[in-house]
This record gives sequence, structure tokens and C-alpha cells, in this order.
Amino acid sequence: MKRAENAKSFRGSFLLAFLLAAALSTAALWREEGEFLTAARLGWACFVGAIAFLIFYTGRISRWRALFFIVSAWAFVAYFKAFIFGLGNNAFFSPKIQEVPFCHIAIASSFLNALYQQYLAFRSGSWGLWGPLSLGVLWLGVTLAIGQGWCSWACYYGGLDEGFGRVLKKPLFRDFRLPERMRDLPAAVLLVMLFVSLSALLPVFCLWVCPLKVTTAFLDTERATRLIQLAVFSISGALSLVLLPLALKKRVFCGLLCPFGAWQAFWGRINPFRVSIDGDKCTGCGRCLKVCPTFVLNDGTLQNQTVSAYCNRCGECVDACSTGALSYTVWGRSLPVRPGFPGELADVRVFFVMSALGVGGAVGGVYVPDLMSRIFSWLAGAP
Amino acid sequence: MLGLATGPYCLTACAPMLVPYVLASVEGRRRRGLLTLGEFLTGRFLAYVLFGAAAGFFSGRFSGTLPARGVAAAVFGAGVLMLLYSLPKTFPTVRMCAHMNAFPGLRRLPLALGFLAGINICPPFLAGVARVLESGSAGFGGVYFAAFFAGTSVYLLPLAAALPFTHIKRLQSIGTLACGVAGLWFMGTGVVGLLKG
Repeated sequence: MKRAENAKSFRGSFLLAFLLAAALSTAALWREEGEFLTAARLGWACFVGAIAFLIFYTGRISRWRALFFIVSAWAFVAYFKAFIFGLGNNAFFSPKIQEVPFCHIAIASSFLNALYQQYLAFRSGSWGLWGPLSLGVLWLGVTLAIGQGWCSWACYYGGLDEGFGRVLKKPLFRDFRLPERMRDLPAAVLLVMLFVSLSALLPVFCLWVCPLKVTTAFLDTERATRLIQLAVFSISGALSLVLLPLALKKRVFCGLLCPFGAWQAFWGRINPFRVSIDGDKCTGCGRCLKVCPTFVLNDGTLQNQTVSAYCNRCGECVDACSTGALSYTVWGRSLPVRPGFPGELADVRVFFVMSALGVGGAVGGVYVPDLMSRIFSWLAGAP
Repeated sequence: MLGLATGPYCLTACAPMLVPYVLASVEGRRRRGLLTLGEFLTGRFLAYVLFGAAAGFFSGRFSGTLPARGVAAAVFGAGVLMLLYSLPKTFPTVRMCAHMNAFPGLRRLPLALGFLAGINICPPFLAGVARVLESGSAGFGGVYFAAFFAGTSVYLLPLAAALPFTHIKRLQSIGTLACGVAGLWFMGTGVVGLLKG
């Protein structure tokens, strides 16, 4: 197996993978569930552990991260909309979660109502009513742990355009350069959609624009409106999730449309992990610009040697840089890493990847093992 | 009282038009920001008074149905203006976009947007129209809607809170793009409204 310069030793990689898998396995051992589900939870924990091992042992982040990310996204689609693949029987009906977790952008329209509910829940002292607030606390925890890294390590949708972006070896339009200011488009979409949602008291982005409605439903009662929504959904989905990622080898939806990405970029600044450029090592070859899947790196970035807050910490540029000019840092600072086990583990890259895979594994742990257990029971002949 | 009671709706309805424009155009100049807000409010005032007077004047001959296509056309028009404002700033090197700067409506864009936002029929607006239709007087309609304007405008004043941030280049860029996004959105909404009638 080809290993990069900053690959960790076998012992170190195995230890980190074991720790991660063990942490994720506690969910399987803690609860008393059916044998299929327990086996599936352990399987998922082992899968995430294996990804961690491959990242540390090979020293290559993005290839293995992408595998994890794409599996997680397609499992999410299969979990919530198994009937798309013709699997409409009872084995694929979830008694637990019957609709996708609420996207943050959708909350704008019901924010005041949610706030009032929280006030009532607080007054009543009933913890069972604290659902939306718990989601808020979870979001804060994730943001503190990985910040904008959510978009490349834990988001249950991002693996869709990442997957299509990796189908071709080379982009069809090699010289395509996005105007720098266009990278703020998700923030503009967020701004407009927040106001419009508040005005309509509806999750307008989700109903009209989001091409990821593949995991939710068209809600409008009027047939003509539903047809228009379906047309917008189909066109925006085909373009931003499939065709443009195929042609450009970029994550077009995540980089140019997703308002949650802009939201996370703003609040993600509270997270200490960054991708930083070492000006002394940078030769200006531009390889990082070509591989950056979310249009974050551009000529201005290299000149100023600052990576914008939109960076997903996917590791693509870190892997591509032949001089090691790009690396994970804590607020721009690296830690002095001693070679060999165990000193090699005190590395920012280790801390970030462990945090990111931990969060991603925990998020995937909500639905991937359940999906796997349903597939097991379906194969075993469930109706 | 109707304006004061229903004003928050006007805030959410006008914000997608006004906030992106303020962020994109004010560039940290407080005087210019206040003028922009003033122009927008003037546009709304003119629309309200004209609509109120017309509703009162035509009340005898008016069958009670409102010109829904006219409203959709107004929303579509606002969308076109916002897109025309955004495109030359977003793609300054594209020749076709550069020509759009000369479009006459763009010189007084806040006034035009305020006017178009003013004739955007919303539930509180409809309640006001129903009251004016009963009166049958153009004068009463004009005064009624002028008061409605005063009541609702109180809620638009917090939008001035965006002014101190308009010197931030990043926000100017986001505002310019947001004008385009909002423009597309209003154009789409207008087209759907026109198709539905």
C-alpha cells in the first residue's frame, strides 16, 4: 500500500482506529436490541474504525474520507426512501424516524413557534418536550467539534454530489474558473431564503429549491404547484448533484447552493481546526486549486495565504500538496510532532480526523446500522 | 391600528427586497443608507395612497375581485429590477451585463422596489381594501392607506440596523448576489402568479 510522508505507524494507526471503533460500539453494547441490529452497529463501528486506520496508515485523508462519506449519504437515501429502489415492503418501514431530521434552514419559518414551545417545555419541566432545543445543543456540539468540517465528514447529503464528482478521472471542463465572488452565493441564498421563509411562514428553500428533497415529500396540496416544485427539484437536482459535479469534478451543490453550508461557515469559526497555508513551503503550483471540490481555494487564497471560512476541511488539498504547504492547524498553529509511536499521535491532523470521524460515525450510526439490520431481516425473509 | 397590528408581516415581506439592496449599495455611507430607506418608504407610501384612492374611487363599479395578475406582474417586475441591478455588479466583465447599468428603473431602484412592494397584496392589505371598498370615497381611501402606511412603516425602521455593517466588503458582495437570488425568486413567484391568474 502506497504511503504518504506523514503516514502514521501501524501501531499508532491501529490504536486510533480501535479507540474510535470502541467508542462507537458502546451504542451497540449499551442497548438491548435485536441481534441483527447489534451486529449492524458493531459492523458500522468497525467500518468507521477501518476508515480511520486507512487514513492514518496511508497518510491519505480524502480518498478514505470520501468512501465513508459516500456510503453514509447513500445509506441515508436508502434508509428514508427505500421504495425509490423498489424496496417498499415492511422490512423497510422504520417505526422510529419516519422523516428526515429537520434541516436548519427549514426552522426559520417556525422559529418563533419553536421558541415558544421551548418556553412551555421549560415551564412544565418535561424533558420529553425539549426536542428542538436538543437539536440546537447537538448542532452546537458538532460545530464546536468540527465546525465547517460537518460539510465533508458528517453531512448526510454531501456524499451525493461528492460521489458523482468522483466518477470521471478528469473534469470535462479543465480550465473552468469560478469568479471569486460567486463563492458567496450560498450566503446570499441563505439571506434571501431566511427572509422569504419568515414572510411565507413556510420552509421555502426546502419546498422550492432544495434538490435533496429526494428524502422528503412535496407538501403542497395543489397539484399544479406540486408539479412546478417537482420540475424545479428535478432540474436543480440533475444539474447541481449529478451533471455539473460530473463535468467539473466539483461539489456544485455544497459549494454554490447549500445555505446550511454558509450558516456553518459563519458559526464554524468557533471551531479551532483550520486548513492553513505555509507561505515558505508553497511553490504556487496551483494543484490545490484544481482539486479543491468546493471552490474555496483560488488565486487570491494563494496570494494572501489564507483559506476562507467556507473550507470543508475535506483534506483534498492537504493530500495533493507535494511540499506539505497545506496542513491542518489549530487556529493557524501546528503542534511539534515527534516521529515514531506514541509521539506521532500528538498531531493536529490526528485530533481533527478523530473528531470528524467520531461525529460522522455517530451521525451515520443513527441510520446506517438500522438500514443494515433491515437488509439482513429482508434477506432473512421478513414480509 | 390595522397597520400597527399587522406591520411585522410587512417587515418580512419587504426585507428580501430592501436588505440585499442596502448591503450591496450603501457601502458604509450612513447618509446614503438613510436616503435609500427613505426612498423605499416613499415608494411604498405612493403605492398605498394611490391604491387606496383607486380602491375608494372604483368601489361602486368594482365587483370585489382584485387584479391578481397585476400583483403578480408587480412581483415579477421587482424581480426583474433586482436581477438587472445584480448582474452587472456580479459579472462586470460580461458586455451584455455591463449594458444593463443603463436601465432607467435602476437609478431610483429603492423607490421602484418600494412602490412594487407596496402594491403586493397581503392579508392585512386585503383587510384595508375591504374597509375602503365599503366607503366608496377616493379621499377616504387615500387617507386610510396613508395611515396604514404609517402604522406598518414603524416595523421597517429596524432594517436600518443593517446600515452599520454595510462597509464590510464581504457583505457588499453577499448583498449583490442576494439581489440576484431574490430577483430570480420574485420573477419565479411572479410567473407562477401570472400562470395561475
